[in-house]
Amino acid sequence: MKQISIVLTVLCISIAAFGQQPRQTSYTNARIIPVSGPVVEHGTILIVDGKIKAIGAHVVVPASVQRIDLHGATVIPGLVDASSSLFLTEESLTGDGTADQNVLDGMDPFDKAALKVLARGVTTVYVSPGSRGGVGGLGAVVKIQDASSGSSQSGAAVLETTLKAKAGVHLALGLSSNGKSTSLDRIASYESLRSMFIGAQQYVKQQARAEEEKKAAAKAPAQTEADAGDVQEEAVQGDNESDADFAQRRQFGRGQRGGRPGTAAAPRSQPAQEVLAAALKGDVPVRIEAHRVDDILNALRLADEFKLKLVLEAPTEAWAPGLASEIASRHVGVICTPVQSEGAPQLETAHYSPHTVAVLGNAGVNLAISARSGSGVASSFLLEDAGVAAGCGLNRDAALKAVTLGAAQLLGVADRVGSLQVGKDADLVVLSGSPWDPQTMVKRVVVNGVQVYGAP
Amino acid sequence: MARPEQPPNGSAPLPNNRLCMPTRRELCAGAAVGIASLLTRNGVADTRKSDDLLAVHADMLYTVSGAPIKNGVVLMQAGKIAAVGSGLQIPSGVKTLRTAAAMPAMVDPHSYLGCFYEGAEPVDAITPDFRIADGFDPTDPMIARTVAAGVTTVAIMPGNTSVLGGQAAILRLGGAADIVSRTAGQKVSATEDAANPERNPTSRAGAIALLRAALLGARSGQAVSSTTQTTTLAGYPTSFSERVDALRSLLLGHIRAYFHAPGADDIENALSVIDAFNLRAVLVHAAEGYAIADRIAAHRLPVILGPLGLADADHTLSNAALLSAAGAKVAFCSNSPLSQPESLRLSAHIASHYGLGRASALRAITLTGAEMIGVSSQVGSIEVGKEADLLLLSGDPLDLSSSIDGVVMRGRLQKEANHNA
Repeated sequence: MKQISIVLTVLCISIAAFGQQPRQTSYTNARIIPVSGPVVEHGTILIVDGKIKAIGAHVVVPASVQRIDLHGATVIPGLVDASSSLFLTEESLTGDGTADQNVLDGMDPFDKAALKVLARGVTTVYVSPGSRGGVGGLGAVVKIQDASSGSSQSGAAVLETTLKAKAGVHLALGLSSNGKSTSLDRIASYESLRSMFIGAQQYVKQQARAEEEKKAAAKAPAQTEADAGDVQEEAVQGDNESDADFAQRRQFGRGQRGGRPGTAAAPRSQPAQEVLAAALKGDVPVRIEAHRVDDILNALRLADEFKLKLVLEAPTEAWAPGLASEIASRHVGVICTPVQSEGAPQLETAHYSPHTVAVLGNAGVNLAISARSGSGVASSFLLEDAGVAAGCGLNRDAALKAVTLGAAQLLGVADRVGSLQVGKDADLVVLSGSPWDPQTMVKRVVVNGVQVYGAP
Repeated sequence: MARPEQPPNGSAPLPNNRLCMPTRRELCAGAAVGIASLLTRNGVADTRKSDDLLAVHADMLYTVSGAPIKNGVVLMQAGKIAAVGSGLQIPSGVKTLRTAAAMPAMVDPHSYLGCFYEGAEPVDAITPDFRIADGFDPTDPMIARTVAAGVTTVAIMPGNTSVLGGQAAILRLGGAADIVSRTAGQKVSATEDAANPERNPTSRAGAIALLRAALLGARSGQAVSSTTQTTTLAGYPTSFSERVDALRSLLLGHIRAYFHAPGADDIENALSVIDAFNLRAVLVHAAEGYAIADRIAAHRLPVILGPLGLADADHTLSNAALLSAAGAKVAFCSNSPLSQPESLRLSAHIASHYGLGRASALRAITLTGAEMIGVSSQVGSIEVGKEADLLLLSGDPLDLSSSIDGVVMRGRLQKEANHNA
């Protein structure tokens, strides 16, 4: 058995090595908008093994390398959607759950929308579990890749490769499912999240204490056996977790006041608490959907108190005087939605302004633009979202950045994607003209140096 | 048939008769001298009167009624457009706004602005005497946002939950929203949206049957109701004559029927009623219109399409292009506040990306919509004699990244249109 798998592995590696042989390509005669720097006219991009090896107006392409003449077409980085529901079923965004529910565990790689989104130049998406119920779960940053590139695209499975798992945990403040959230509900939802983080702090302390005790016990050899016994007992208990325990664990994630403060015994590792602990350490960004001024201020207060790495989602009323500078001074990431999704007016968005995104952008906030739609295919209009933002007063460069490099920075994946720079993944989109013109078409999409959409 | 109204002849005098208008041919020739002499001849250039004069100079002027004009000048007086042309000399002392681009203010032919929660009388599915204007809230904050988004003329309509929902109204927005017409057409929804288990009809076929019964009843002077309890409701006996009158004006072709018809089956049903009663009609929200585009075009039925959403299916996004290619007239509406007022330009942009020609796309959010609600003699294009409602933009209107830097309404620049960014 072992031998077979070794043989298979060797076979795979040799196929891969053989396949890698011609992985050098260059795109020449392009109007390059790298986003990270000034526009390059008549530029060349040299790609080696899926990475950008060289870029500029004076790149020397070795004679052996394939040259693709773009005849003056525009090249922009693969677009990055900072909040998508691609690969999820439509209800997912409105989901209610626990902090440890990982969106990667429920993704449908056959989602037909993925090819459409890819064909419109979006190559990286943050898949969001949503947070309508107060606490959502963990989101992830994935790249979209056409598994059938080179062959027929019809019915092809779309593979997503994870750039970053646990890229955000989702919370919400002041949201109401019935559109009738009162001031008291808002206070309660803030207090609920605050209690949840206090509970998580206690959990972290308990875990640390237990760890210390374990170390101390390890130094005393006589107690080793007893410890082993404890661990075993715990494991058994874990397998037979009672309904009551399970309910309590869920309660934790839902942000109810909880935890077992003062419990001396080594606490069992609780997945939801582990996620919140990671959030407290700043390892997992906390995404809070907060529309109104009071909710936005509450989100900032939570970030201050618990030193969270905060990303604000859809801060509808952030145009209110003074708020943008409060957000900017904390280096909080913000995801704006210049295009509201269709539907009956909600209380939270009653004071919507199309200029919010420009107010925030001009205040120097770390900005990403997204449709934040419950429908995955909405990601295919990311460039339109950015266009609307530009039409509402954000400058065009900032608007393009908010769907490329800005979004990548906010997601923590800017070392890989978001701009056309040497060393980054060769994810690029070839456009027939200006990114903002209605009749501009996406001619080619390249992911990791491989063309996944467009004419051969 | 909703034939486009002819714009007023260029030689017609303005209502106040202070200007004698040049012919359009003169204007097209760029008769700068003509304008100057015209103004001095009538003493309008007199500084005492220049406060009701305004000029716009656009690097590119999208008149919509004709091809875009480079270095276009629009001269406005007393709230109306007095002259349009390329390189016209602007008389000294006249306040001039310079802009990269200008276009007519947009027209939204189907909206729930200020009346979203007043859309229908749920007890009865036949309420042709219902007037949405009576449910309009002129203090709705969305009105100011709509103007800032570049929309100054709006048709508000009853919702889709009644078979004969009532009378549409035409609004001219501004400081105080004016209701220009309270009886601007009848909203019809013989669809599943009008079905309601609490009363008749409970099905789509039942809705069509009820619609026929109501129209046939009106022919013979009889009011029809979908509920047996109606006669016990206070006020109804007198309103019954209004009910018949409202349908008679529809049967006589004095007003249009706005048929909510999202599915191809709904459109087929609408066509059969339109044919049977020889109605002047417009299709609204005809999302599956592409499937029977030829039949819609053969009936010369104009189509108002709901705002194009970013999550729409490909055929919905191509719908406008396919209908237009078949020969049908297409306009976009916002359904505000279900969709934001900014969605008009977005719809035109998306439709253009999916194959609708640029000129048709721009027309679909201005003049075509104005034609469908019967106000194209006053708004929807930059033509002499029309209302001086213009948008000043930083670039091509179909380019979403072009900002609306100013809204001119009735010849005055609206302050709130400038973004606060």
